[in-house]
Amino acid sequence: MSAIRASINNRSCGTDADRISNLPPDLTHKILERLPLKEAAKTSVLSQHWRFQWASIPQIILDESFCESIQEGRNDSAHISLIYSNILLSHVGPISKFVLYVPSWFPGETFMWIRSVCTNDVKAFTLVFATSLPKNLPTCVFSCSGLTHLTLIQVKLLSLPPTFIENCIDTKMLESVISRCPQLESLNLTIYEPANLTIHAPKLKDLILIGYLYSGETHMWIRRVCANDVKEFTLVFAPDVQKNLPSSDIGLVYGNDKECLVTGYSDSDYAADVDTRRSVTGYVFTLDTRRSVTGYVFTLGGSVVSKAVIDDLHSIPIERSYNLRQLRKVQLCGISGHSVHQQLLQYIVAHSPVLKEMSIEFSSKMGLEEKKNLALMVMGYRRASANAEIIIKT
Amino acid sequence: MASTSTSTLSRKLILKSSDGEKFEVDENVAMQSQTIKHMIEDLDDINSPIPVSIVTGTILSKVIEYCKKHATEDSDSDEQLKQWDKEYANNMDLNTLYYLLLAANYMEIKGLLELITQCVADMIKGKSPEEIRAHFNIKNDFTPQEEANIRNENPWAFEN
Repeated sequence: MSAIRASINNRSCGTDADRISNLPPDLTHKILERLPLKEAAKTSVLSQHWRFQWASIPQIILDESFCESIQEGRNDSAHISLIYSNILLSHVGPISKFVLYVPSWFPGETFMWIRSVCTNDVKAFTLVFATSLPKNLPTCVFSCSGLTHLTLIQVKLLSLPPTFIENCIDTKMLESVISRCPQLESLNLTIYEPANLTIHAPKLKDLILIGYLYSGETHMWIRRVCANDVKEFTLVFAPDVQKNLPSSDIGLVYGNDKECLVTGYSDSDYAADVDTRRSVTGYVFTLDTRRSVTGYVFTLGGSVVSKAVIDDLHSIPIERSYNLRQLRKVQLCGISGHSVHQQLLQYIVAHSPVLKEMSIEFSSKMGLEEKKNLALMVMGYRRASANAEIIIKT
Repeated sequence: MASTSTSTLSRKLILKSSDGEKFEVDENVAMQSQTIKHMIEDLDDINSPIPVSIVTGTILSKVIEYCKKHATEDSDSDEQLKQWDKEYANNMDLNTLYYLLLAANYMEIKGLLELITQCVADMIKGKSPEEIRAHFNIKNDFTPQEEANIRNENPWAFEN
């Protein structure tokens, strides 16, 4: 054992040894990945060992600076074409990241290159058309089942029939589009009409919904967020809907994941178990209801904490005994000095024993004095968690 | 080596290099290595030395130096830390870099691995093939004709 160690030590003392050629292949790739492609390709001539190393790193970055570095000051499309094709043809092994920059003067088709990489199970693909007239997105991208990141710059999506956009609002179609993207991790939806939407995306991590509810029919129900990995969910209602106080409708909607509590709007259907949830993003909002609906559903617990139709908003039906045992982070926006809001705040801080952070953003319609008074009041609320930090954004 | 596991602030761990040298480090320093983190999870007795089997004492002490600096990053700004990283890497000879690279890979220390690979990449960048060979002592085992052929395959890589 000691003899072996001695020989290792001797070897490491030698200064003329070629260390870099003896690295494991994955480390060699990690080094070459940090070089621009042109520099990496240069290593092919160093020795037999280095002959194909550059061509087997799991990324091909044909970006703008690479394009400029090989075009020798002339816009020769045949020249660029040949080089791009050679690089793709000489590549060995998987390609997880592919960047393709297509200069504005380039007349040819690019789908051949894209197709060859797409069949290689690419995970991250960036396509940049540097032209004022964007080209169509090659359809082969849609058959890229392993794709997790797609960046398209100046790329025209398929030319859709004009009715498609209208139909897109159709909930069923939207549901079906989303459910056919099994790898989807982030979804940003803007909804102009009340929708009865089921989102089925097993890998979804971020969901942002922006709703514009101008009409009297204000109920937008998101039936169920079938996204087991949702970590962040944001639901924003247009500020205009707050115009018509005092009718009020407040609620919280829940996802079905232990890491998140989604918020917004609810009816009793959402009485999911909230005990295990760790964060709340709460947008307390008021809705313009010309009907005389003043009741609201306030589900904050494993069962509906309280549900009541009330005529007078100055009383709030919250079950005082219900604790939010896992709640750690709360974010509330559009809080005004309304008594309902005060009671919601008071309720949350008093019933969340492990609360770490609660940020409150006051409504812009409040006066300075009002804000100050409300802030002082909130700070004075009894807190169930000794570590709760309350951040007030004005 | 006396154990100081009675310390209430931060637990101490003992890392043992391949040549038997022992290092006592704070737990949060050692935990920057994913490999050690996983080892601790499986370990019943954290007072017994944790073997870092392929890393020698000389290299392990350098790894610990890096981990210590990055365990207390709050005290430095990002800029200062970057400067420290740069000096740390620049002070290594090729041999040390090589073994440090293997150690960072084996111990799964992401930041150190990135630092060293970038450092080596920077040594390659901007050099001609002849200069790269000379820098790393790479022996050219091509015949002149073979080398010319390879250059002709991808002539764009050898233009300036």
